[in-house]
Amino acid sequence: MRTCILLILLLACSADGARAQFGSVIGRVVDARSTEPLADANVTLTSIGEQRGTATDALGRFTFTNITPGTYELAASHVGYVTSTLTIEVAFGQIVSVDTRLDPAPEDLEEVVVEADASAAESVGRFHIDAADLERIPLPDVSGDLASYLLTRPGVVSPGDRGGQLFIRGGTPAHNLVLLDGMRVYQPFHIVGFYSIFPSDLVARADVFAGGFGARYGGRIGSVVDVRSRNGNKQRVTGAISMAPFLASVHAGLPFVPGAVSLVGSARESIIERLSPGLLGRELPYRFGDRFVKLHAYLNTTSSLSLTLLNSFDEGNIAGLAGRDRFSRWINTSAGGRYTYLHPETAIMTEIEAYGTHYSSRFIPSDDEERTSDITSYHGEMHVGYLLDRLDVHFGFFGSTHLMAYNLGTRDADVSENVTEAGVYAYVPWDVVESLHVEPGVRIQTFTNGIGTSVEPRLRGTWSPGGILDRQRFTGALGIYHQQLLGLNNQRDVTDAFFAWVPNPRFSPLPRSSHVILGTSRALLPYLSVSVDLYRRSLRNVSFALLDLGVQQRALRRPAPLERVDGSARGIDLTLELTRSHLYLYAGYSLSAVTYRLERERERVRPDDEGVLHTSVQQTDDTFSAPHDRRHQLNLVAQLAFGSYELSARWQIGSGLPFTPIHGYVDLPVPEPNDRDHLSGAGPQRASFGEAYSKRLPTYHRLDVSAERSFDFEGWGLVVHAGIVNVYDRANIFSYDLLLNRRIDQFPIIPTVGMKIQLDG
Amino acid sequence: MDSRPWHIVPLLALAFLTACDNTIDPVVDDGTHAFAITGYLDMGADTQFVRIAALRQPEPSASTPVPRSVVTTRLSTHEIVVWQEASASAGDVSSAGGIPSTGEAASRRDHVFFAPFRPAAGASYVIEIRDSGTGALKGFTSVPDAPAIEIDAPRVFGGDVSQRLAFDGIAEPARVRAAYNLHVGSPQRGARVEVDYDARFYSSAGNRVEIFVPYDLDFERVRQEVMDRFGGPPIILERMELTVRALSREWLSPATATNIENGEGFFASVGEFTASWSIADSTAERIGFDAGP
Repeated sequence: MRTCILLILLLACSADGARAQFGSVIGRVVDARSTEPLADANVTLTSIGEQRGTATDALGRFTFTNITPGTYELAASHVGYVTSTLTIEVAFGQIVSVDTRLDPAPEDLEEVVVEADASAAESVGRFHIDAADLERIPLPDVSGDLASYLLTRPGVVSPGDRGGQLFIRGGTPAHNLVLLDGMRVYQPFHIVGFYSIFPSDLVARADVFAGGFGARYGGRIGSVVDVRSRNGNKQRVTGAISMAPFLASVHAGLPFVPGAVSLVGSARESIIERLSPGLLGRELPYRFGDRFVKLHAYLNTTSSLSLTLLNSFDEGNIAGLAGRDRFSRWINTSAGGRYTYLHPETAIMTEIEAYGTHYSSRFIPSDDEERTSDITSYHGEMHVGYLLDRLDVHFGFFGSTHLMAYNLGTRDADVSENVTEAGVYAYVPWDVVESLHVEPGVRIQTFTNGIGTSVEPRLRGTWSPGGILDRQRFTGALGIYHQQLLGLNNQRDVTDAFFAWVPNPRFSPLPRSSHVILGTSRALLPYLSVSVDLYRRSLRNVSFALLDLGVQQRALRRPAPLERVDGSARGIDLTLELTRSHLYLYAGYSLSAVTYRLERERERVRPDDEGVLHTSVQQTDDTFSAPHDRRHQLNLVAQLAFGSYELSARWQIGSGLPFTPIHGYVDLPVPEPNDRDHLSGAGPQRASFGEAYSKRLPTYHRLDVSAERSFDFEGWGLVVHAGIVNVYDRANIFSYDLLLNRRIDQFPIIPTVGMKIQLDG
Repeated sequence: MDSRPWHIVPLLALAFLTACDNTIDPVVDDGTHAFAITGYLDMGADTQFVRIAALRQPEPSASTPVPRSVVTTRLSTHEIVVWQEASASAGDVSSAGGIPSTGEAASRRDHVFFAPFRPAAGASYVIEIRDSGTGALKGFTSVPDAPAIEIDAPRVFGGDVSQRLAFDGIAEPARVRAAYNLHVGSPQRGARVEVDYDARFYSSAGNRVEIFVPYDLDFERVRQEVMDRFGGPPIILERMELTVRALSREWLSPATATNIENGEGFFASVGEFTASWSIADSTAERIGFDAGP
């Protein structure tokens, strides 16, 4: 800690020195129409004989320091926008603040801008998503959605089209950190797998770190999905109403104080449970929806405040059964705020955020049993960014407390526990030379459960041999991660979406993961890019509710006890992306292997040479495929736009997920030692399990298509949608019910129509 | 080298066929785990019984395994006993707790086998069940060793009379039963009244069980049963017996089933050990019995 303070003081002193001789330029780049901040915009500062460049951060901010006094041309550019240039004067010791508004570009200019951006599209396990990306994936809806988009990415696996579970590069849903405007959301994906709480109408941008994420993020050992919602239009009223077979929604934006304060609201509610009997001739008993409100205010030219409120709900029988058996329900409620301050005289940016979030989950496996889990988390964080020239220093402090109550079945008593974690982090984005960017960091956390304090080093780096605009880029990342909260899910049964959030057992090592990623990307043509990522994760002490490998008599439908497994996830992700003004083609392929290893003691009873039985204890090391280990997955996406028409198609194929086969069923009763009742009658039904996860389900593949036409009128627009989910009616298996010998298939062919009326702000 | 990509055609065809296959086979078909067993060897019985069932399959199968050979071997002496089938009856599907209600399930058959022998204390046995063409299910069990028995003298506290016995070498008794061997009525007839003790009357720690025979509490029950069944008085106490049934280790953790190979179920043994003693006439009279002739 002393070292940190010294470092901060040293940086502060050097800043004072710099301020005495040089000037600085700070500012923000926003969309001229919506006033949304534009991230990753290129900003250059040019003078005679000198040019410097940078990119805006997630809030559209940029900083140049140590600027020699003089006259400069400041240029800001971004994909899909007209480049803006202006002339500024920088005097000794002066901080020049510039807000730049970019106008959307006409269509024929888009390719020119894309050319410069193609090689920078992705880097080392991270991909950046904006609303336009979401619209490219066909959905049974008029709007795009983050869930459907993520499922096209290599390394992202879903067990089916319901349940709301995403596995990213071998990590389980409980290993994913999902943030909406900085708020943690425990279950962001709806029960119907096409949908999340992040529709394209709300998403301003999303950064997905499939692994190797930096020191800013922690508390999870898998991946990060960091979503920033739109701030809303501060000039005009906007709004939209849409209806499609699955979902009806209303969205509105209001300039509360024109130019300064905006209010955005959205409400969505499923209608498929009411329409499906008439539309499909069968019931799809899935009910879900969400509500979202955000207030965003520019308090002045250097500070802003946003307040966000989110509520979502899901319920239904994921196994598709009638009645209450296997009924699931979960509810998210989150509220929080973020204050951002950019000091007008120094290059220091400060963010303060706080939120509370509650997640409640219920699962009824049978008439006489209900499993419950409630978790309430409170989080506070202060982030400081010291924005220098080639080197930024970011650090922050955070603290969280989590209150949990859970019950894993009627045979167990309710349990209430709470845990707290706190820590500091620091990371330094540094342009070592023009061709090399590195971001070393460290996150130090202490947990009330677990052993000791964790020190988590992180490193990300990018090398562009020919400089920042080189078409070839090499990337790498590594890091160590720990997780205190365990999301227990019965891994044996994919129709069980119930997650019980429980703390890591006291004085027990925390789940730990280390990531290594190496990647490269190349712009083959100005509009065609290819990228390759190799990754490896090692996993330690990962919680896993597992059928007991040494016990083959455990009754079905009981939650298995907590097991700890080690393991690894490794693979290669390939993407090929073509982006023209009227045509978008995408191919993503992943080859991966996720294996778990369970060390345990197993007893065996055997006779010796003299006919005496002995019990020997053997250390066994069982290695098996994780239940989400999809070895091959290929996604193809195409979007063709001409005039007011837009056609989209997506085809996905994936190798089958592993499952545990059975030898058969047993229902013989265990005898009582004083009678012979066991010679007749039946005991409880049990399955005799074979080797864990040693067989695989059939291959999964599905084609979705959609067509949209837009009509523009004065001040409003209309979008008409038609599509087909599962065009060739592939009976993709969702799960196999061992007890009832019944396969549960995913959605059949579903034709959809929809429309959206939007008030064009 | 032929650069034409013909070699990719069979690969693509294979991938296509794999993608088209939409069947799921949930069963391990390695020929093991054909049977399940439930039963135990009982030192207290002259004839032993086990129940055997073929594991039921999710889909109807034309060839349900049948236990054609059931054999036990005493491991120390290699003494072999061949079991015989007692009955073969259709199971009651409706009471089978959710068995797939297909036509195949209705024809499910269980098999009860018996063998006329009494297992020996401390001996180890293996039971092997075979069908032609499948691996044998093997179950191992060791009958509990005979315990060392300590019998204290009866103790008198006021009007109460009790007696302590200790069985060294038994962890947890399955049943503790006292037997009052009597002479009843005139002319005298032999009579026997048995009283089961629950856990209030014994304690177990480690491999030792201590049992308290509460003569005064037993007496009213013994007397009433004698009056109902045999008439009387007089009721003369001839001899006492105390029988303890001891469990083999498999009963203590049945879920682990580490003693069964290539199959499922439960197989164990029960030892039965009896202590016998006489009580002085004066003590018997104090309890309430009549004096002998």
